[in-house]
Amino acid sequence: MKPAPFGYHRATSVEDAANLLSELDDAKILAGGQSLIPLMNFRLSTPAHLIDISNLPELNEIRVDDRSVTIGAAVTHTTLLKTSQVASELPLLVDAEKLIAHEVIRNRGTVCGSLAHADPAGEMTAVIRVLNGAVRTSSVEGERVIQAVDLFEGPLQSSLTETEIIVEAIFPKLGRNSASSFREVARRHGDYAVAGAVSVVDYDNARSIESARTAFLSVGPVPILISFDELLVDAKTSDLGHDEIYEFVSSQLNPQNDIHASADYRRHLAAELAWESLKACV
Amino acid sequence: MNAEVSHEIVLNVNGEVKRFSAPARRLLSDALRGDLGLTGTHVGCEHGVCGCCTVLIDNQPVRSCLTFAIAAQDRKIRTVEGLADADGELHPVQAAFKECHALQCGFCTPGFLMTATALLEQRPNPDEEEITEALAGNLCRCTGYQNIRSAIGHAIELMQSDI
Repeated sequence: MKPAPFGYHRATSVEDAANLLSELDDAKILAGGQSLIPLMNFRLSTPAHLIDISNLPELNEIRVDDRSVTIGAAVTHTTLLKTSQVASELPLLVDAEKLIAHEVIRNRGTVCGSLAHADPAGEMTAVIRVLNGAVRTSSVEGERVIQAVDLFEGPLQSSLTETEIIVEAIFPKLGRNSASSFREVARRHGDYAVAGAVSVVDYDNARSIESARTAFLSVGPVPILISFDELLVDAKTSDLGHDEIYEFVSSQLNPQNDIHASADYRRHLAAELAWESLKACV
Repeated sequence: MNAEVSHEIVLNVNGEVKRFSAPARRLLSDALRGDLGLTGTHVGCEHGVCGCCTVLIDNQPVRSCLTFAIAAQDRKIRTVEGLADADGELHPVQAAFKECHALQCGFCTPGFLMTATALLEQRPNPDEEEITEALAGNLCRCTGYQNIRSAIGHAIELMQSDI
């Protein structure tokens, strides 16, 4: 239960971090460490070098503009939760944050770190997926933007290259005619969700549903997005039917059995949570 | 294998500057206990679940088992040893835990004390939900939590009567 030896490097800038990541063999970025250090304590992860970016002021910024909320790579969950502008501009981020672990973990853990960790049980992976967000990365090769749909490749597997750092995450804001809701079931408050669903519903000016979609956590190797547009377009909100949603979702999800829950139970939970979160958007 | 590199690490713990030599992989929990002899911080699960190792960094409760000592330099660390006065008078949270029988075996207690101290420093009058939320990250296998909750209520009274 102790980490294997590694070399520690405190980056002095994003450029310095990118250079170190390129020069050093088998190096990992350390931000809050709340996912990485447990893996290292168990020796499931044994990087030869850690590059600490947690003290870089340029990564500790939250920017809100007309279109999105952009969160730097050193911003902790607690900082995000306590930023009042985020609560008013994109309340879904706050709804999700309240479900992430416990305050003690949120005090160190970072939003971008949880995205880089690419755990399909992570709330932020589902949020960035349902909002069609993106991450901006940096490396010695230059910068690029990775859309959320392309970021997650499997459990704890992202499409980041070995020399690439997430610099910031971009969460598009919802319009005035959109609603969102997050529902999950965990065995205890703060535990990883057995299943979860985060929904966004867009309305037209006549309050008819234009578009509806749900991203699911803990039911597949990556956060899974299901669009309800073929069911819901032009439907009146009162037409949303439990059985229709339940069947539609369960026919598309293929969760695995594990020690926490059977595949059938997870599928059932996900379908019910999809219904509940969609209903909460109405 | 090459000998592991040791670093000179400087930590500010309970207002005192402490220097020691340790490899980068030294967890803050092990540095406090092993290198600095501050064994009040307990180590339970070592993966961030149990809460026994909770200390305050810049007044925020964090898991010392999920923090590297080398990365906690330049921060203000507070441990359970720093709660009581220099003359040994218990901190109101400690006094409340004692009076309300909020511990039995005591293994989890340092973590609860630090979590509760941070809660009451940030929110002197927390509501029931805020207390539950704050304590949810710490496990206790003896008390059933009710007396711990009572102790938080009593600590609030003690802290307010102190003023």
